[in-house]
Amino acid sequence: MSEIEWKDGARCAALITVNLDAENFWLAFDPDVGERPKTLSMGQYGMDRGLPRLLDLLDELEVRATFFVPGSTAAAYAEKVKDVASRGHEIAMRGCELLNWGILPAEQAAADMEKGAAVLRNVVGVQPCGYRAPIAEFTLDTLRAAHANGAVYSSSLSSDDRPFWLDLGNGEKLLEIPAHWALYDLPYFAFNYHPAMPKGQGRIANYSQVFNNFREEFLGTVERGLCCVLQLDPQTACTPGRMPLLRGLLTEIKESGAAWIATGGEMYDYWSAVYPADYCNSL
Amino acid sequence: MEDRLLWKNGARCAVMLTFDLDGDTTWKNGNARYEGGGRFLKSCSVGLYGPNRGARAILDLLEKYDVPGTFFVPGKVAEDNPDLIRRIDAEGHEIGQHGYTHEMFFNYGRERQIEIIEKCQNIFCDLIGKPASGFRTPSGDWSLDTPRLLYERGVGYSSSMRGNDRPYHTAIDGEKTDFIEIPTRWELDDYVATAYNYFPAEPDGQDRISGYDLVYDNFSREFDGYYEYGLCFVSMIHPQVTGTPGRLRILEKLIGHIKERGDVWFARGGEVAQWYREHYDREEVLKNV
Repeated sequence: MSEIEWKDGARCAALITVNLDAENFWLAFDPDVGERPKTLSMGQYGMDRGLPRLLDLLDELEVRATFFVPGSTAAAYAEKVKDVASRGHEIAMRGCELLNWGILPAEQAAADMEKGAAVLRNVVGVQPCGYRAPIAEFTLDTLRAAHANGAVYSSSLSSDDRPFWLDLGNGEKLLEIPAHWALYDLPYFAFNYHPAMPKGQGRIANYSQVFNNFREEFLGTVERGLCCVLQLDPQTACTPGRMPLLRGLLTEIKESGAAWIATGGEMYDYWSAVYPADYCNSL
Repeated sequence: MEDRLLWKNGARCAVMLTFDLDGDTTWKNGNARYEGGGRFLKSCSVGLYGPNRGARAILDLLEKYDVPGTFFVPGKVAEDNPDLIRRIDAEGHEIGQHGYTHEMFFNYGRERQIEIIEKCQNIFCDLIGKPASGFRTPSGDWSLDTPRLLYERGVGYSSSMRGNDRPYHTAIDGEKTDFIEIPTRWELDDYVATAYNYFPAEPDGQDRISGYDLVYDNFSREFDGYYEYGLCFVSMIHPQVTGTPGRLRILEKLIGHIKERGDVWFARGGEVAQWYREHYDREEVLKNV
């Protein structure tokens, strides 16, 4: 399979995704952060200041995004998460706590997944169909647990630049919509002294360069007819100085006319109809 | 004023585009430090992007610009991707050794090193009908006896060191030999500039992915300098890193920039080594040819 046929003859596909990790990002980073209000406040900034700006921008551009929401965030910010859903965005799973499922017992991950899914169902009243693993590591057990809790797609791996069917090794398949570090704002921008983030205390990246990287990835995606997945975290992407660059990027993606801007669920529906698992299971 | 080296067809400088096709080997090696690390999916998927997608897009680019590449491939990655290895060979590129699973030769004794070198030669013979003539040391340093073990087994050159910007005859047991070193430099390595992973952290201190425009600016400035001085420019590219649609644009721009000069010799590693051996004696002096 060389050229993918995207919906409505679009040249490529683009997913605008949002990780609502809030302060749970920092709690997973270092549990002691529970006693550190200053560090926690960086995550709270995302929900209190970043998210409203992002939602307004998405409304204005008429772009629907996919929000991966940890159960811990949905429980603490239920009204805000309901608002996201009511404005037409997709709510997808991210487990409950944002722990490192690569190094924790599989049973614990399964219980966390169940809890995260239950909180989301309670808060938004629908069963989510997508999942993204937390920022650290995970195993096939993590994805099996997501599938068992209703996820038909995941956006967690980086081994391709088009959706593909991932064999879960238990007779089930999951559609993976891969994402890459290059298109995720938080690793470029997150900073803290104690606990140190990043570990080596690298400087906050230059804004113009970061958004230029995003733009270059998008332009390359258009050239090659692929699927790019932008990951935003409002705690880092939506500061007053970064908002104009984000607005510029999303406007360009929208106005290029080259991209089918899809939610994860829409991608799943399209892909499973056009390239179903039994038709083409290894791209 | 530095002496200018003599390059093929009177070219002003040589350019060797090299690709380290590590796949998931480096990630698996790193993950082995963690209990259960063998089951990590995410970091390995970052590496697998190289053979799955990046290398294929890079081959298309090399074809588009009609330039040769030299691919250093761990034996395990070759075994896992036989069609890709055959395609690299069939399209006229060179394949060199890069360990079996990207081992640190520095840590290994003589017997273990020989085992790896011979195993990889067998894999390449099976896949493309010939052994590799070049070697790039994986993961940092090699052992003091590595060049001799390679040379004794028919490997004629290495592209591993950082101490020069032109080829030279490697001294083995104190004597200069025809085992040619074609050094490269960290500033020409895309991994240094743009590789990233959150956990396990890559780079170790988790610094940021560099701005692509600035990465291109560094690479193209280095090339301009190599051209000016008439040296051997050896770019070190990792398909898992440069293979993303945005970073392919850096590589494409760089190739375009180099080609604009015209009098540049794009060469495979084996050709550079052969040329140097034939034209420069073991005192690194131009022979009477």
